[in-house]
Amino acid sequence: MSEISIRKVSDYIYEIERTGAMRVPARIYADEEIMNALSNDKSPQQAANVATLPGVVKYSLAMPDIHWGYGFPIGGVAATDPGEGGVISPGGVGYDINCGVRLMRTNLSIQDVRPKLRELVTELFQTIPTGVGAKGAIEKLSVSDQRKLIMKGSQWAVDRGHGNEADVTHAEQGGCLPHADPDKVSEHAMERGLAQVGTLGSGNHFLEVGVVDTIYHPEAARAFGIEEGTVTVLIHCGSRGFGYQICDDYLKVMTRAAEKYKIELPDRQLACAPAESEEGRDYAAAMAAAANYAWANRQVIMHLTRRAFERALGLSPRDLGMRLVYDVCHNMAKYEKHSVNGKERMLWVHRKGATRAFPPGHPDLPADYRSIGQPVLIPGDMGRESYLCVGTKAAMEQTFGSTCHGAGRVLSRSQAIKRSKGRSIKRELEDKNIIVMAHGRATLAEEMPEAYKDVNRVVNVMHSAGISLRVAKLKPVGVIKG
Amino acid sequence: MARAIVDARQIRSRYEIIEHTADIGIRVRAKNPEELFALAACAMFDLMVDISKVKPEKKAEVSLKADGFEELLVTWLNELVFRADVTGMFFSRFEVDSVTETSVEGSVMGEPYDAQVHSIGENVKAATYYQLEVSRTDDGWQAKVIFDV
Repeated sequence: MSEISIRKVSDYIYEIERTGAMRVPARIYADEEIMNALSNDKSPQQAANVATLPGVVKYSLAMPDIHWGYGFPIGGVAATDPGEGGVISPGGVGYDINCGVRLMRTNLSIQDVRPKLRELVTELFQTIPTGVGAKGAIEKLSVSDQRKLIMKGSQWAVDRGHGNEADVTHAEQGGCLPHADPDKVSEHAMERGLAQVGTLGSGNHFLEVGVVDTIYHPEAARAFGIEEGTVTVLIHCGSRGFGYQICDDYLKVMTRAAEKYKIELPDRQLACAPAESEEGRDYAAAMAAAANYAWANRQVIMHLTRRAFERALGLSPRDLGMRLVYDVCHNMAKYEKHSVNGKERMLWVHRKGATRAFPPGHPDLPADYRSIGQPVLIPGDMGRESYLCVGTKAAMEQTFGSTCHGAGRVLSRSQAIKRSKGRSIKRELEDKNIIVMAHGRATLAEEMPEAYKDVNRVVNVMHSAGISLRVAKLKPVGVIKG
Repeated sequence: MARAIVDARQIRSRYEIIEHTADIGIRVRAKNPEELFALAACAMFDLMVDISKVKPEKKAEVSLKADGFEELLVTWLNELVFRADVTGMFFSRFEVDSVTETSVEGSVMGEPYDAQVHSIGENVKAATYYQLEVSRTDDGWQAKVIFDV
């Protein structure tokens, strides 16, 4: 593909002009500093590659946490119109299908927790399997149980006693995509899934105990059940080996499909098929299976978290009052209604490291949030703030109802490890009153705060652009990782 | 065809790490496709764990088919990721009996993960097709693979 040329459209929007095989321009939401940092990065080229996909509508988009991925950039959003040959691409979803975040609130204030924080983090670390080979959070599933889980998502976990009905209604999509089909899932994927429900995994996945530091939007904060000083929990994880296997299986299917349907790919990882083709429908059904697995996984982890809090702090469920604020997906293709040039169209919206951010009044929101808008959860790195934001009408108009999903990496893993030489990241975090427990030799170094962009800056871009508005800032006090 | 065996010995000097912001890649060079596949697998497990501590005690046979060297390499690596995931093992010795453009035959040896002994590195979710290369060079073969971690 020819060299890309980028022009500034407004304070927070930059456009990659349409050239070569691009069907639409690409737009990056960023401020000047973020944009300057991208000058030698491959991610703008990846956003341009996405703009070549058949049926792509309006723009290939990238959020301010954009960074170099495989296929799509991380932070990429693209909507395709199946009515116009629009494709669905596993590369626009990623291996960790429905990797996402859930935020819980409690009745506790930081004063209640601080004296027993170390015991609490230890209890969480012992209760929730993390790291390589993590399994055994709950009894290994039978294949028939796993088929039920695939069909029901979060509800499956609640039916098995891991949570309550309110947990389900506060998850994006009610914690279940309806078009999941276990018959479209390979035996390999089924086998990988059996023992991993309720496990956090490794890498950048985490569970974080936090405290609400600042409220920016009191009305929304009230609706979401938090106030200054409220103790919260953020869980970041996805569909584990089950999802990775489905992605890998279908990349092969899609490579053949792209040849069959004569789709030219600038990058093999963008392999895709028309969403209305047999291959496209099969992938959508398998992807939904993994999405539902991820929701069940986060639901079980949430319930294990409840139990760990109750044990460590000697509380009853009622005193703890741990409730789901919301659960969002980061890696997903969703079939959604959007307005394009004044006409309502059903589109496949791919969000690869991006969060849905639906506005007030949207029918997909739970009744108690409908007048406020969708909660958007944006974790920072483990030493810095995370944000609770809310979706807007501008998001619906400009970004297919999407916003950023996190801080976004700036350092490669080996760069981070080099920078951490001679330092104890654990100690540095403890000096900031954050207790961290992790298994891997390199996890803490690779995930050190400096490896990430400043989440404040990323969130500010989307707030200032009017796409997702700040509701509250959360500060971490305890973190467990793989 | 030339049977190739690659194990933990000097593995660090036998592959290059490719820097990537979110993920990580490897480049390997070998005399023939068999050695290339064995080396790529060994390098991948070396990213995942300190394989010098993984004893090659249990053996598993691997026989796979795919369409072309590149897809075959990804299929081989991801099959090993799958086996490691479901058996809770790491592998440290890789014997590749034959590689053609559409098939690989070989075996891998390792032992179950033991948190007291095995020092964990990257969590490789999968080998990707992004910037994937398998090619002949003047004096052998080379491959480049980016992993999702």
